[in-house]
Amino acid sequence: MKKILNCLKPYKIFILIVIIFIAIQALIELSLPTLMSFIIDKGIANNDLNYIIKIGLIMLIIAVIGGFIQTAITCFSAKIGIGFANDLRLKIFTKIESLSLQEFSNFSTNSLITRTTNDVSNISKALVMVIRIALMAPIMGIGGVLLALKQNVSMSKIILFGIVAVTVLMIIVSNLMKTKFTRLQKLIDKLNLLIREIITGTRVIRAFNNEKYQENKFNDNNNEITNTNLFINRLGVAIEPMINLIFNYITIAILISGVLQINLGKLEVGQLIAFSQYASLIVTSFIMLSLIFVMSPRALTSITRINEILQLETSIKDKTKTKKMPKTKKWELIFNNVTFNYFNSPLPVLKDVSFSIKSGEVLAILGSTGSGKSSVVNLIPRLYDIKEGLITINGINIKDLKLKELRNIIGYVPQKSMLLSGSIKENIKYADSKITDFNMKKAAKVSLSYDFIMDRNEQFEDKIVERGSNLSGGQQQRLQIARAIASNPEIYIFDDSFSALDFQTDKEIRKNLKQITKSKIVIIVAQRIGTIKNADKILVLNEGQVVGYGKHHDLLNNCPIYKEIALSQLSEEELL
Amino acid sequence: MKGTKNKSITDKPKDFKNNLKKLLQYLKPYYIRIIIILIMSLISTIFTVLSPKILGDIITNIYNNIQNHKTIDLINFKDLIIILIIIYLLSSLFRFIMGFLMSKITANITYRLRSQISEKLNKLPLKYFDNNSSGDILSKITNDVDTITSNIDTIITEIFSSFITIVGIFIMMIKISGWMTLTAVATLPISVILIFLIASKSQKHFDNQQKNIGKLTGYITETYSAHNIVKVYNGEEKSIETFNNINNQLKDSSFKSEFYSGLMMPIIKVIGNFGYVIIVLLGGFLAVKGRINIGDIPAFIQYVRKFNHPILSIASTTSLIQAIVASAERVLNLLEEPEEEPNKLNKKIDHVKGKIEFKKINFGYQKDINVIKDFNVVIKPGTKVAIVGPTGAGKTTIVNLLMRFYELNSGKILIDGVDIKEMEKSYLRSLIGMVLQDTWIFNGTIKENIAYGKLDACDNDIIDAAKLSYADHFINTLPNGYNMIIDQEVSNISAGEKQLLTIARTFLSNPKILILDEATSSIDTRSEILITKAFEKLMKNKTTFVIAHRLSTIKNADMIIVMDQGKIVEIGKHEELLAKRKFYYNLYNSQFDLTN
Ligand SMILES: Nc1ncnc2c1ncn2[C@@H]1O[C@H](COP(=O)(O)OP(=O)(O)OP(=O)(O)O)[C@@H](O)[C@H]1O
Ligand SMILES: Nc1ncnc2c1ncn2[C@@H]1O[C@H](COP(=O)(O)OP(=O)(O)OP(=O)(O)O)[C@@H](O)[C@H]1O
Ligand SMILES: [Mg+2]
Repeated sequence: MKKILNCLKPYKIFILIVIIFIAIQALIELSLPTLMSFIIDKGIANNDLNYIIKIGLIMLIIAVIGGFIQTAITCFSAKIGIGFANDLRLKIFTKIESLSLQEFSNFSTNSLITRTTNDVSNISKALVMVIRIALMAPIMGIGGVLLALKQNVSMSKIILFGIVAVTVLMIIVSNLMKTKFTRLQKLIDKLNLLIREIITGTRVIRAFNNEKYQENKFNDNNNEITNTNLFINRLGVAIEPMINLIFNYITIAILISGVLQINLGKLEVGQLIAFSQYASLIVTSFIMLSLIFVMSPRALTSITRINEILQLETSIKDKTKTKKMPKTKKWELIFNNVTFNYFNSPLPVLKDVSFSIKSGEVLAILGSTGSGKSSVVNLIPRLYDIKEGLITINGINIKDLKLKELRNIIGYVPQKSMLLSGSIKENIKYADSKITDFNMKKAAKVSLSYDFIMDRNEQFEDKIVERGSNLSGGQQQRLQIARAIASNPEIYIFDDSFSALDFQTDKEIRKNLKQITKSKIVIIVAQRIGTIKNADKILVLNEGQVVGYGKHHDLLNNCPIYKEIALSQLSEEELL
Repeated sequence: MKGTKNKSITDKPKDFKNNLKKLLQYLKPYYIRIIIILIMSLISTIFTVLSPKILGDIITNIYNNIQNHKTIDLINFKDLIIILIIIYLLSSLFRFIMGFLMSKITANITYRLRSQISEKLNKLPLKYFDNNSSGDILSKITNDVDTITSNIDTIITEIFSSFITIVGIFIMMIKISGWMTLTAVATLPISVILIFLIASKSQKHFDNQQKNIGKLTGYITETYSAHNIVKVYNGEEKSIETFNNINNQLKDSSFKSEFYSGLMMPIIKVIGNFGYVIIVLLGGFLAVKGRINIGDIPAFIQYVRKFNHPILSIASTTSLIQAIVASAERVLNLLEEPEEEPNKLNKKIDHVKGKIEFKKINFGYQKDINVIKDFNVVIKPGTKVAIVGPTGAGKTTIVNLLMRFYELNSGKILIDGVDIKEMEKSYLRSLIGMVLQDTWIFNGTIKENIAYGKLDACDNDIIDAAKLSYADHFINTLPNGYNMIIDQEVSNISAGEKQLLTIARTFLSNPKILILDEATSSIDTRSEILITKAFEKLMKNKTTFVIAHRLSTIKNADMIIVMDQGKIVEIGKHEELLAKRKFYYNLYNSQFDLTN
């Protein structure tokens, strides 16, 4: 809550100005009729044309000032509302960018999207409402109540009764709404999910003719959203007439009790009229407040949801005391008895994994599906943190290094291609926009992307669409490799990133890579024996455990699993 | 995309009208209810005018009584009070009923718009998704639909009751003084013209606002989905910067649209007050000249004030209408996108044998770049065909064309002699099973994900399919087995495991024709061999296409099509092609050529 309110700080002065202006505006609104009564009482009654014109001019001037003030009010309150939303959104986005994959999966991407967009706009809408109405209503309402109390205590009980009734009503309604709003935001999260599902799964959905299934799934959710919304809206539309009714009846009650008291000689007619006017003042202010009560549960739900994000502390971050990244060309990466499990499952996916690799060496990781290869390489840039064991770079625990510096020396090619919409150039230069065009082109050439890039309509400026889906699978992989190369890292990580390439391309890229990775650490996850046969070290994983570690020929002799895998691809002779 | 820019300059007012008209179509089914609402709003407006008058009457009465030193007998007012009680009750009741009905109408429209969009998404050609970001579509279905439906009710009731009020008050004013009424009404056209002027100026900001919201949602969606890349390449600052840019654009357009529509109220109000003052002056003048009664002036002036009120409320609804139209344009544009080419005929094949003919097909994703050139081949029924070639050769494109995800530029594809264009798409696709290069898993249990291949499959079938695809083993080691929920985004299973699941899906669907597009690229080679065997058993005597880079899996194909740059360069069996010592020979040998 405090974090959200902090976003309002820069607008303190604006808010103050708006409040003052609203008060002035109220005065102006009241002054016009008063001035008019002057014209009638003094001007017309005395046949004084000059007086009439004088007062008329004053009225005109006041009207124009009123116009300016109102413009200022809308302008400032828009500034506050929109500026606040803008700041809050940035704050949330910045926070989310700092989170690790772990927090991401706790919340799910769709929910994070809704929280950055929909929830923020809920709050900012409520804010504008509060500024414009909430400030005005209590002033009017309280003023009315005070004045009313002054007039006649016995009748004030009637008003008090009304206020209590309305307050109880509002509390009930807003509580009813609260649970619904929490549900509603969850449903909107799900709506996001389902829509994105349809968009990303187009081909599969159509291939299986599952359009109807998908639509039904969507409409179930759609239905629930609509009904929840309907319930909320109906509660909302019920409030106003109910409050109106309560207060109208109170007016009648005042009238009757007033007449009775007049008969008893306790009350003047003038007092009665004044009293009922105050009553109507109170009515209007309560109607305004009721609007806020309709808005507030929604805003409160969104505030809670955003708070959940802002309060998060990412689990993977820099230590307060970090160690300096050594300035060297010689690197050594060591895994020492690393045991690792994902936070959402208690079973370790890696058990006692140890290996080491130095600059100039190539480490290949091989193993069957789900054996933990990707998990191993994901630990190096600290996408996840380990609890047991030790990972060091040049003897320093990677947890002691600055994240940014650590990741700077890593060129990571993920298993699942992940390109961003934008030009090819932007994608290759993703690590650093300062990468020179020369280096970008070099990276493209090494990754054998250059030719197909030049074949495209706008070469390096050609647009890649979301998820890179206007490229072939192999082209996506090559651009990813180019991206890693362009960042000029010390540690290359290729997670099965040649799988969509034909052997010839695969071979050539590896040949090119060899040139530029001579003095670097290279870690390759692969399935093809051909790809890894010449690696300096091969790590064979099985169900998270190291079952072989050595060179191709040694492993053929002493690691049955390795031999099995190898034999599944090439014949005995071909292997040698 | 390019067209819209020109359109926005020339056809804007027409678009505005058209979109508004189309939007009104959505109200059509509810016209009876809307009429009821309008009648109620009419009555309740009359009540609102009436009740203060009755209250006033009572008070005047009391006042007179007191003046005459009589005690007041409540019985005298009984009728009036009862009328008042009833009027209050009715007008609240009406207001409630109106809101109640209107909420249902807007709820229905929201539902309908959303479900229309979701259906539309399933009918759009795949091209559409190449050009539109998913976040933007998302924003249309959430934000824009919300904007439309949350304001539509205000507009209907507000405009109507404002109009009624204007007419009513106009009549009352004429009764008092024609001259003064003329002056009062003279401000009306000025107000109307100003409303239009401001509205036409600010519409583009409303449009921009909605567009920017879409853009922002698009950026957020994409960045959140690529979180691991952002992290590993230290892209946080850069994405925050880009975000900030778009966010500021949104701020700018929001502020402008808010400002312009905020300008409307004060300006109209000032004009109203101007009129008011002039009336007072004129009234004073006329009264001094003795042309009207002094007593009429306050009453008239009351009406002038009331007269300004509905005009103000029309001015404020204008900005709502503008917001609605901006959103409606985006939603309607999506709904009016051309759909996949409809089927001319719905021919069926009696007994599918699986003969497939590609007749001189040509195709390009973009206008001037042909990706497939004169692809011409006949595939014998029941054979296993491999398509090989360097990356980007056009292999996946062939699959896209066979499935009719994209339409041919020229040429024909026939299955058992029937042009696939003459079949229903759903029929065509029901014949073919396909495992795609990039795996698609949705949020749901493993079981649901496998059952996606055949929605009515029973548990046993699902487990059998999982066994055939060798997914059963890993599924059983998972905490919840088949009921474990997979997360689409933060994939909590490995890439290869995902691929196994998509294969299991296809086993379950048991297709007549099978396409495997690098279906096993992330799977270890031992499992791959087993899966390939299982596929062979499943597809005995059925036509199978295999696209793979691991040539071991395609050695035994009945026919190998070697593609390069969208053309067929060689066709034949493994041995034949090797003997030619050309393209395939090189490709094949590169996997053994392990020299560096
Ligand atoms: N949606 C698209 N929009 C525009 N161009 C595309 C699209 N999809 C593919 N392409 C282009 O068409 C060409 C052929 O792509 P295709 O996916 O058919 O290749 P492929 O042979 O399957 O390659 P790979 O082995 O890498 O999967 C490539 O140059 C690719 O960039
Ligand atoms: N985010 C995650 N949360 C929970 N479990 C996970 C997560 N990612 C992977 N796993 C599990 O951890 C195990 C190892 O996965 P990993 O991705 O490391 O395998 P892999 O060897 O790379 O497999 P593949 O060859 O299929 O890519 C798998 O059993 C998988 O189900
Ligand atoms: Mg993996």
